[in-house]
Amino acid sequence: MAERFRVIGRPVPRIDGVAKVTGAAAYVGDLHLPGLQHAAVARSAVPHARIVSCSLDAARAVPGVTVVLTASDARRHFTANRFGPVVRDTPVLAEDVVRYEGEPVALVVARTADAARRAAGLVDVEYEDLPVLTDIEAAMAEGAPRLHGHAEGGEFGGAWGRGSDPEHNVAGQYHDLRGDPAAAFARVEHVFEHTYHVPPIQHYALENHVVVVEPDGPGLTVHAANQYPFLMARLLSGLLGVPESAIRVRVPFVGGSFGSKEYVNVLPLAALAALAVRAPVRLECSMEESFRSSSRHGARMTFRTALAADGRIAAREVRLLFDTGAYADQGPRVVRQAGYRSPGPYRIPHLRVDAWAVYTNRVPAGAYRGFGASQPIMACERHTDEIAAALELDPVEFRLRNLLALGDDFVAGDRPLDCDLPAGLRLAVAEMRPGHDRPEPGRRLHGVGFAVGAKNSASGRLPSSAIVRLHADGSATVLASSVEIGQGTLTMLAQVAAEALGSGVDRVRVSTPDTGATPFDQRTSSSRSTVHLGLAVQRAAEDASRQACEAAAERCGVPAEGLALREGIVTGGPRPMSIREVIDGPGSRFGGEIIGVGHFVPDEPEAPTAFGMRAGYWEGSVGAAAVAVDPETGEVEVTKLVSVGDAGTVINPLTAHGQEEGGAAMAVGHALFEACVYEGGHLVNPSLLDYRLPTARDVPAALESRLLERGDGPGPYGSKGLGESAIITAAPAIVNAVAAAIGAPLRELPLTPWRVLEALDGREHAEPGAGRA
Amino acid sequence: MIPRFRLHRPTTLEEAAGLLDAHGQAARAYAGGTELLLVLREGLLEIEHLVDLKRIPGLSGIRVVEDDGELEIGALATHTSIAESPLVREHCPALAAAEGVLGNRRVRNVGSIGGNLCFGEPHGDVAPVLVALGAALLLRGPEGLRRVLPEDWLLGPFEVDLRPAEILVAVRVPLRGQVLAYRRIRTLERPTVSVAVALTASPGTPGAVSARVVVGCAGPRPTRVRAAEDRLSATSADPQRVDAADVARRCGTAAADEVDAVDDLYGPETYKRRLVGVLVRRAVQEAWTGFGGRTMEARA
Repeated sequence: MAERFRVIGRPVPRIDGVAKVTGAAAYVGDLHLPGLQHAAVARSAVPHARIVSCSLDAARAVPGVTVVLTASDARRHFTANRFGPVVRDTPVLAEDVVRYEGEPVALVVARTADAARRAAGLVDVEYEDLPVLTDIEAAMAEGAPRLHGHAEGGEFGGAWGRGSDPEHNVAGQYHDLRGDPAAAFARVEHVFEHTYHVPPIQHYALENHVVVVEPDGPGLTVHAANQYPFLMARLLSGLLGVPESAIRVRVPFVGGSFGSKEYVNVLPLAALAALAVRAPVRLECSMEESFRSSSRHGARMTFRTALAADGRIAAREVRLLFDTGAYADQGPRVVRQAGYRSPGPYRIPHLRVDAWAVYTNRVPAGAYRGFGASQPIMACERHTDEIAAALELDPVEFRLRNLLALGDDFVAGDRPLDCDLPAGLRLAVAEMRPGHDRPEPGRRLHGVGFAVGAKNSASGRLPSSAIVRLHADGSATVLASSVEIGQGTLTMLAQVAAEALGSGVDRVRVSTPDTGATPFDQRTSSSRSTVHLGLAVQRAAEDASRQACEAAAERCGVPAEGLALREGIVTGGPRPMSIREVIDGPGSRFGGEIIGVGHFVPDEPEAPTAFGMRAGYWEGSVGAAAVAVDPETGEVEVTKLVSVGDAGTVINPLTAHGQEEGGAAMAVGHALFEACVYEGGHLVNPSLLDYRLPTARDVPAALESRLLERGDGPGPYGSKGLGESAIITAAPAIVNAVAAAIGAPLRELPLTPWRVLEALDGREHAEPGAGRA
Repeated sequence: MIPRFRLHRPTTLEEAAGLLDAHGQAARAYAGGTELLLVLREGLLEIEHLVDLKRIPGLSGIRVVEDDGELEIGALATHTSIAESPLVREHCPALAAAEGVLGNRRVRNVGSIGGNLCFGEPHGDVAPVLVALGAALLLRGPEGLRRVLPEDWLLGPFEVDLRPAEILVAVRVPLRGQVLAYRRIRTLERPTVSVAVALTASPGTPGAVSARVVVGCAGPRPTRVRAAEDRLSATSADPQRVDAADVARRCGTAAADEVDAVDDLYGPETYKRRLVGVLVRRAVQEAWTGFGGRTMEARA
């Protein structure tokens, strides 16, 4: 594939790599401004309560404290003490009620971070406890206490906000009915129903939430670790009542995000602090505060499937309950995506899906790498294995019998599947064949598991713009607003621009986002930067290149066809002409450089679907895992992990495999370790001592990434995105492998050793391949 | 962020004791800081004075005290230095092994054995091993030197028998040719359950064995499992007359019945009890095999 290209497909080292490994890279926390003050948040100590009184005297008395702010200050400085992406249900600072432990109640600003923190600890709030909602079903029941009244729509609003039903503590919902599932269930012999549980989990980015805000004329300049610079500018422009041009959001390098750095409340809080003291303010959260700021939805998921005699799926019903915590955040969007994807990439003639995001008194849940794909794929792929086991079918054969093929409709009206899942599954099976199956002597049980998934990525109206400034020496500056969160987006954009300009990657510099200077990009999310912003950059570079060739052709009096830009020289004409001559030569129309502009505007759906948005492309994924289980202690070791992604064209094999391997390694935690543990409304493990992340020890030496390339992606040079592919199937593959090893179903995550032992104790039916000791 | 504190760097024990005495509850001795600094950062303890012991000479050495028949490990010896010490490896390989897997490398490189013991973490690796080995702690206080057994030292979770102005200066491990097996299960940063089994030939009674079976982490403090110890001690040390697997299994069952386990984030009580049974069985079997090998060797 790569031979067609000069730069695309080459293993270009990350252009930010050296700066990051040497510590030279600057993050928000490294920014030092004269007169900088520090903010700290006083947070609710209880999960649900009425605020009876709030005494700030002790906090104000701490030396160095400049101001202590509460909801009334937020109302005074902002147009409203309210924000939220889909529904504006979230106060910047709590009004009369707190709805989760850790909710911001007051904000201290001081000359030192130490003083701010000490003062925040002295804010004295008297609470009157209210009933705590910890169970999703109970929260939806008639007569349950209501956490919210009606709220207006936020930046997303529109279709995303339509499912809000605060009367029943519902933040958002999704429903789909195709065919006549009830009748289909009545017709068949085999009906299977299983319910699965996944807990809320934490993103755990190495860099905690951090933002620096400077008052700047009527508005603000914001230095934020955030994936949504343009939406944040829009949010702050609304809160301040100033034009969007008065808000400038800059995003330097970000130390990891995984979806955590989108709509957390640190930005409005820091903006409030800066407005109150009319000085630059930094707000930097601790790791525990990050745990109390956002999470991935815990979920209860019931899958019911009717199977025809030939082993084909006749009908499916899915019921998803997502715990969205105390505020809607991105929950309504997550649950719509989860509902849409939940049936899995299978041929299902009759389908019913009902999905709800439910308010509880827990930390708000929002975006997390995979954005509502991981939870239902876990349930769907476990359910698939359980059906296969009950019917004594090979789980791979059973999948192949029902999988959608390349080009099939997932739903008529959406983009047809542009990933080849059967080919991916066959490749994964082949990867697992040699050697893995040889049980070591000893007492451990061995098993192999597979999972497939397809995520409609980059759906909806997500435009991007880019500018390429071609300088007189042939080098180029790319102005683009993709956030470098560690995924390698700067390197990818540099390669795309270099390919289009016919130059080396080292001649291209790519900007980081600055909403006051770089062009619009909807956001860095949904594995969309390569496809959407990549296309905008490619078009901008081609525009610059075309202008150069046309000008050279005009100068030489020849047609522009056949001219091309290579290494800063226009070739193919009567004589080679340097870019410098094109730009600075006699009669030049260029003002010192050539400015190329490129846009990406997505297609509209061809026909209305229940989901209502068209996929930018399908992120297809197959995971395969081999595990060894100690049947006495319940310990699980992942001995091999394979991910097969569907890349279209690989732009950079180093970063592409890096995304896949990183996603698979992250999913080891989802399968085996990670859970935010609550006692009532209290989160009891907000630290890495008690919240277990996968470490290098837990990642198998045999961690393999394979990428299918057909060159047919919608992105630049036939590429697709990859950021979320491995993570959505690696965890269910591991869980399926453990279930196969122990010969017992597993329906609750994570697979702690005691859950594995309980499952072994209660073995109902053996799954194929079970107990090969 | 760690709240502000004053760092003292005494160069003698007397000076350190004076500082601890003068500041009382507002002061703590500070060695590696791997536990203390976390606790300060979390705001769980308010300490205004940290008394750094690292500039006091002689607190981190490892040596054999021939007269006492003991190995002495200075309280400030890091876990890595203990794990890599030729003396510890020679005289007490299982202690070296336990120290070599504790926490993570960063903790092992700066954390000290004394700090670990003073923190009283119920999920610690070190204390159960020391109880099994019959080790003792040496403390220097206003009244002079005090010798405390690790089982008496640990009063409960994060609670130790450290008196005002006292400083833990060393750990003494008896050199009596013990065979020790240490087994643990770990899912979080610290062990869920750990088991240390030490077997010693009973002096003066040929063929008899003295046993210590210690369960750590399952409950609030390390516990000796008397039923398992009695069973082992009543068993002949002649490997040819004993079904080691059977003895190990019986010890495991006895331990699972007897031990005190609690529910916490590491797992439910029932799971820990079950693990105790498995780990005691495995550790006894390993120790017995090692011990049998030794007696066979002695005979040959």
